[in-house]
Amino acid sequence: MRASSTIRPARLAACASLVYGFRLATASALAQCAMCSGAADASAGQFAFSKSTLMMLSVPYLLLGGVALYVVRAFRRSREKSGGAAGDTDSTGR
Amino acid sequence: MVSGVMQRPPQPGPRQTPPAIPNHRLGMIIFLVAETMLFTGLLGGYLVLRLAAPMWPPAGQPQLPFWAGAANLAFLAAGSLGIHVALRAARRASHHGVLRGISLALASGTAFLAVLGIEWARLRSAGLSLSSGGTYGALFYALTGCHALHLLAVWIWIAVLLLMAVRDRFSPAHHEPVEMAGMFWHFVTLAWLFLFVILYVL
Repeated sequence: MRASSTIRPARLAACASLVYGFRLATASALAQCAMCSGAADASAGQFAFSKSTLMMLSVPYLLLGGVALYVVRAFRRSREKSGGAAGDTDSTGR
Repeated sequence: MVSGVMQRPPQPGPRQTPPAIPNHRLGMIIFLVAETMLFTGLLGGYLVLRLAAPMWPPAGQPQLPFWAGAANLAFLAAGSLGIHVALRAARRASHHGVLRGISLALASGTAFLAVLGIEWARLRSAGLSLSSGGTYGALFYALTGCHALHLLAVWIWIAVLLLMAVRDRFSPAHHEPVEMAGMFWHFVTLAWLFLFVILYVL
């Protein structure tokens, strides 16, 4: 029987505190990077910074997605293989 | 005194299934992910400086030779093919196939390093150096140099594999070194594809 899919309040609170902590960490990082922020705001480098940031931001997500896809496929293949072997064993009666 | 206790024959344990992802492959994937982030950082720095520059290449600096980059891409692709052939041959227990594939990869790597060396010498004589070329020269040498170091590493690795293949150390049950070197070589080829497009084509 499947478990209920409702989110428990304790888990919700833990997720919210995690997000809030991450937000605080980001804010302090931004405060320490005033020079970078100023350089990025300059009109000449704005386009360059945004394009480069976009490229550098997309790669980890692509990597994560690719590795996750590979892992899921590998586990699925392994399960099919072991399921097939179990089926063979059952059919021989051993 | 003789003990009257009889020793039981060892009982077969539960059948162990092989892991879905072998450890060597998982380790290599993690390593290649880290390497990808290294090249991403370098390319990100290159893009910032290039897109912010009013003119690229800067005035008085030589254009990068397209033919050299394309030839190197072809060499790396041939090396990838060689490693693929070697891996398939190792799985089929074909000793000559392994030797042929690894030799092709080794020759391709040598050709790549030779062409890159010639290109560096030509560009240096044309006035592009780490100090005189500004960010243009520094970025070019940093990106291609970092890539060349990776290729040199996999070249040494494959040279060791060739020695192992001569001694017939690979079999269908044991060919993990060839597989891992192949993964690294394919990564180096893919990294050069991106470098080629960004440095030489765009």
